[in-house]
Amino acid sequence: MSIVLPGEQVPAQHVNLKLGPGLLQLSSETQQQAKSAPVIATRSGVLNHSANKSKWWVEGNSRRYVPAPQESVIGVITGRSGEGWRVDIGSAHPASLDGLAFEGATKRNKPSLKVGSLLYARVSLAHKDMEPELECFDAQTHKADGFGELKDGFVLQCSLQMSRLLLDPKHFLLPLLGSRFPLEAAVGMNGKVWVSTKETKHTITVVRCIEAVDPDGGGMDETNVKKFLSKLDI
Amino acid sequence: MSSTAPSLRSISISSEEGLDGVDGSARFSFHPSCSALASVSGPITARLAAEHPARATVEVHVRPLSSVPGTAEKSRGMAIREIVERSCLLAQHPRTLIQVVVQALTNPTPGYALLAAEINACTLALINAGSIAMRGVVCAVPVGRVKKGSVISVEVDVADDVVLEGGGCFAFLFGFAADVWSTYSARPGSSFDQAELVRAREVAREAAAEVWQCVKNSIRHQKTIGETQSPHEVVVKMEI
Repeated sequence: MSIVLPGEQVPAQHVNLKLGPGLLQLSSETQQQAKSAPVIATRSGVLNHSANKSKWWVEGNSRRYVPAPQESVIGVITGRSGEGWRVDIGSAHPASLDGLAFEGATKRNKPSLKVGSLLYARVSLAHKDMEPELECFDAQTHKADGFGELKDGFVLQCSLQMSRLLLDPKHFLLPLLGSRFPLEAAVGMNGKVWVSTKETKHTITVVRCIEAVDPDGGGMDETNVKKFLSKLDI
Repeated sequence: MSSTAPSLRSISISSEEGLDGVDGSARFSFHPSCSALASVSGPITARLAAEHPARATVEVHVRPLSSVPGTAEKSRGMAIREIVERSCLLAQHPRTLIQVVVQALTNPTPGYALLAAEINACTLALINAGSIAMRGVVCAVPVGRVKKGSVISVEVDVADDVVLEGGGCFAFLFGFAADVWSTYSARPGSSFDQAELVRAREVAREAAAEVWQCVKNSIRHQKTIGETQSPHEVVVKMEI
């Protein structure tokens, strides 16, 4: 496990090199030099690479979301803009969601959304010079697949690394909580998690556990979470 | 490898504060009487007047320990803004704002030590925020000399009866292409020549490399304990 600081050179060399978040290949003047142009880290974190060393990335934590395409996010509708909606996803610019970007939506059959509604959407366009755009259906199948309006429930904020951990099927937390009480959760890559349970005390339990396991809040491990849960009245 | 200069032995770095409402924060002190806290938020929405079409706008606010910010704070703020603009890849976030707020935690020092501590705190806060791509890590040290021709040394804790006749702050960008920012001056009545400036830069460069090592150790310590559950404050002291 190697920790890198911004500006440190990374030994990433491969014929089909793919650089993930946190790495930058410095530009070189000629085609010859381009093959061995240096790769530097642009954020601090743990340097990771795939087994065959073709994919490299830096795993770091942050709180502010920078939109990237095909990421699922939780947004709040803040207003209408023409045929569509203006959605706040926590990035620097508000995102726009077209009124017809839902499964089976036609001009006569639009979903009934209001200002203040919660949405689980996918970022379809994210370019640094443009406003991000959202869609509420899966890219390949064009079916809703869980995207759309989120009714009831509670939204909490966590760090971006925590939301990546929650989306990992091998992470322990959500299955552990789901085994204690019925739970519905939607995790946005923008650091927002929506939870819905039948009782308020279960919602509070989920919120407290996510805050405790968050690397920002101490990074509690599985045995300590179990001890914590045994002290709560659930 | 040279041993740590005595004046750099009590550097203390802490990023576990987790100030609420900002994206990154860190505290840096050379010495208990020379300490600064910085917070960073960004990239966030910029005011229409402050937007730049091709890059992010950087705003730096410096606050003194007591009383309202004055001209000294404004001048330190401009220096820090130049440094932050050089060390971040601003072109990746056009039309956004990066807001840096620096709070001095001790009274101003006679030399440039507080400015150096503030620059280091800003760099650490930017690293802690993690959302802005950086070209490198900026480490700053204050240097000074007592009289013309005497030895230039790192001055972080100037005793009240010692009058620095020349001094300044040097900030080095440790990245792929090293960069330097400096302010070096002589007090009225004294002067300095080019050879002295070159010597001062060399002394500062070695000291800044040690500060960089402290930063690296602090971040390594944070990342490795992030896996366990103890939420106590992590303070890395360089005690050699």
